[in-house]
Amino acid sequence: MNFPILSTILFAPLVAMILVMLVKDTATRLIKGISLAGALIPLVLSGYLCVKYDYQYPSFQWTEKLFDVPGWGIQFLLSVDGLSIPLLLLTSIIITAGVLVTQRLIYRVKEYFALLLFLVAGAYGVLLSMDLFVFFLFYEVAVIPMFLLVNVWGSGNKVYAANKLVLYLFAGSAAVLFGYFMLYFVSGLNSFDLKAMLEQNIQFDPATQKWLFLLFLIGFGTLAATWPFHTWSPDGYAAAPTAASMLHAAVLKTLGGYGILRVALPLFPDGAQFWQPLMLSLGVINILYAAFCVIAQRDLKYVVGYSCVSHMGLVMLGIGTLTQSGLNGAMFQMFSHGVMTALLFATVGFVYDSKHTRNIDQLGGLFREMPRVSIFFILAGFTALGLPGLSGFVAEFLVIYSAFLVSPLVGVLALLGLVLSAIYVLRVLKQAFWGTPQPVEAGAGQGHGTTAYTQYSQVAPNEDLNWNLMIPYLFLFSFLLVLGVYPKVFTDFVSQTSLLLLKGMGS
Amino acid sequence: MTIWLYSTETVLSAAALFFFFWSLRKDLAVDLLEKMAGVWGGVVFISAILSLGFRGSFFAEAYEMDAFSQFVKLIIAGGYFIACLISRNIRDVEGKYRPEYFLFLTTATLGMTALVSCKDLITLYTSLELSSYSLYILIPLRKRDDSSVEAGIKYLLMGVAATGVMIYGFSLIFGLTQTTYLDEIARKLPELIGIPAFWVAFFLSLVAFLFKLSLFPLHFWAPDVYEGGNTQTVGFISTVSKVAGLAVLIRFIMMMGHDNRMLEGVWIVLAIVTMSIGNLAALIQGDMKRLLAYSSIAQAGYFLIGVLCQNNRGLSATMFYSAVYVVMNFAAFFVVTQISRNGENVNLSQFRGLSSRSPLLALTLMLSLFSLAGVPPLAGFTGKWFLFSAAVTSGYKFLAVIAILNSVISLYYYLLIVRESYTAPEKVGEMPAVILSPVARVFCYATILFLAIGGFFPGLLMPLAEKSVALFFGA
Repeated sequence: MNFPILSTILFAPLVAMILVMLVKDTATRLIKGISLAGALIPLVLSGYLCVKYDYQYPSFQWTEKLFDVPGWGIQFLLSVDGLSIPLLLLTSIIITAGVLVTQRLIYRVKEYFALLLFLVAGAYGVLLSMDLFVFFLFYEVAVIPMFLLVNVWGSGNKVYAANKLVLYLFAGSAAVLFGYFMLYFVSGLNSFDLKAMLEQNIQFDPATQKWLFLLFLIGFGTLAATWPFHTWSPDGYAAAPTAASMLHAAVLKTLGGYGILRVALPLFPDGAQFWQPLMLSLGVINILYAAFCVIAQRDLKYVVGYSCVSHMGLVMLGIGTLTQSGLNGAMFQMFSHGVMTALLFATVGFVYDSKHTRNIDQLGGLFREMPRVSIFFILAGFTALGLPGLSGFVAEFLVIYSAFLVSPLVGVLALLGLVLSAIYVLRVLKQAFWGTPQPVEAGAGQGHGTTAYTQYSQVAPNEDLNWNLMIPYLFLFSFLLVLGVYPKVFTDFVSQTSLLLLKGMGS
Repeated sequence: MTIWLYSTETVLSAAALFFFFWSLRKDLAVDLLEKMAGVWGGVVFISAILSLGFRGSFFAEAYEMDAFSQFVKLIIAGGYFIACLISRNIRDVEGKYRPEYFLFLTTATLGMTALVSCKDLITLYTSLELSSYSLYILIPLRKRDDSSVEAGIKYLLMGVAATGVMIYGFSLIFGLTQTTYLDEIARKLPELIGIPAFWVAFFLSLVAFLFKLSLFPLHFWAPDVYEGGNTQTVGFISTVSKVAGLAVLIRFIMMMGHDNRMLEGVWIVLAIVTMSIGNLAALIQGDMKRLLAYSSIAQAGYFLIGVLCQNNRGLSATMFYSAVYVVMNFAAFFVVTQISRNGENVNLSQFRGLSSRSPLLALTLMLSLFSLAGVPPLAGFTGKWFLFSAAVTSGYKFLAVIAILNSVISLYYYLLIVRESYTAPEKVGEMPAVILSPVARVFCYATILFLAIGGFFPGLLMPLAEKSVALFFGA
């Protein structure tokens, strides 16, 4: 019998979570060690999957079945292909970095790491399970720990943000759930087996395709922070503790895009073609609207939050082009944006712990005081504005190139978004990192119910990163650099998969 | 040795005797007694697991061990185990009555385990009375004020009235068929179907079980009894007693086979009205136990959806859901017992800031309530999915839609409690901290684990449920 790689990836964080819960509250070093082990095992295994996967012939190359409920069409089926493997790798990178940047946590350490591991297990579950029922359960797993993480360890207007996040995500998943039920009953399959549906080329009639595609677009789009259902995301990320923001922005948002690529696109090709204009316009609106929002922000974490929404627009746009290069770009962007956003949130989290403020006017001149952490923010910011040599450039190039193929107007508008991103990134860098601190009114630019800074981590005022703490930042940045310099390694990996996803499209 | 076949009943009888003799002791040693009760609960549960595969019939075939009865007994024994575990340091039952408390808890369980095995109207009646009378005594055991006595009398009077109606129905059935054996009655069905008196008799016979299940229009007792009774007891009544009533209801309905379709309309109306009344009334409750009473009325409505499908899917879904329901509902009552300091009733406002007073308890509360509401990925969601999808595939689409709407309504009042428990108290130290005993902590973890596993791995429990109802379909 082969080694159950997929089950190990899924259960390693869960086992680590249970171990963490059994340890005494005060044994914080042990708790952090166990959590790191629970994060590293999937990292190693998903790295192995990446190496071993034969990307020339995309298919489900690993499959494990834990149990099934015959007669009900439910089974616990784990399977991976070229679409899920990069995202598995992304998830394990982010959780590893997330655990590492949280080394200084002192407030309710045990619960924090247990919830974080639970959250990441949910993400692995979504990526691994090929049964829509189990897929949906894992999709929901993300919500409960996220609510608690924001509510207990959050900052700013955290109660409001947590409630908003939960309500939006529930609304989105209600749409997805309804779609799954339609698939189950209307298709006449009486099964949730997605793998069988994909492999048997089930055909749905065009009317069904149209409605189901729209339903999934809205449902998964809410998770991917698509305009106009994006407003939960900047609030949620700004209020969440650092590792939770990293994980949610990098991984769970990506799951929205993953859901569209995994379920909606291959099953409903006609629906996708029918709604292509909608996807393109949503993508463009996301890019431009959120970019304008960033320019107005004074809070560094809101800046990152809105720029994250803006970048998710590129994913939607890439999918909307329905071309091979567009899908490549969307997947590239999901990966690159995930790593980049995680790096940004990690730096912002550290700055907040050290300076007790995130207001970019008050921060002014951060580079002089904290050069190391500033360097990482600047590098990630350069990735966000698409500097050649870093991974953001490749993703944006692929997506916008494909957008020009479909419609020059869309391409031009998306390019405008790039200009805006250069404006907002440089503006933040100028004021927060090189400017001089400006006095601000108390509470300016903050919503009602905002709480003052609370210390959850042991960081001295004005402390900069030491070499030990720099490891996760370097780790994340190395991916941005490698993919920026040598993007072929990623595009080769996904391009056949993209072609397969577009198989059902007529001409 | 046939005696091994009813090991669960034997162990329960031994436990009852044990508690009886303990009550005669001069020094009641309540702490030790409670530990012993936990041990007995475990023994009963283990014996129910061991006897899961036993088959046989006794007492001139009046008493039968089949797959269905053994599965329901497992659920009942599980509920009894939970009840024994959480009946520690019950502050609102006087120390000198504790042995009696466990005695009647045990005899009630014994009555219910017997109830699900009965295939004869006489044994059915005696088992029902054994369980009911024990419960009638348990309610007024609570000290405090007159409200528990009032609740006890209400429960007694309404229960006795329901039993009286049932006995009248039994006598009519006997008059029409000259037999008390359920199998015999089933055999004579073809000639009975045309007689209106038989349908009257059939329905009257079910009244006592509808009462136990607290289905509309026999649900009025529930809120008052839940409010007046001691929390552990009403937790037991709302879970275990309900499942026992449900099991008999299933036996009766399945006995009728296809002819029962004539009553289909009645069941549909009962299911819809029950869940709607329960959920709507729960919206405005301020007392946690009254709220749980209405919520458990609504849950009974969901059970009925699976029952009225009358096919393998519907019934196995019902059995799956009832097993999950016992755990999640008991967990909600357990949280109430931990929050109330002297066993008094708990208002919703007393949940405020529970997350900082006891994070584990707040998590248990949240997960059990979310599971009751059917929020994925918990066991309650999977159970509801089974129920509703069985309704859709059996042709009751509108019923599934109404049930889903009801679940959405119920989410509101469950969320009210969760929000309260995760909102910080206005003044620090305003609310007393909640300290959990080791047993309580273990119970919390076990509940959380069960709800998660039941949600993700229905394949562990579902085959048992399917096997248990297969016998109704000639397997």
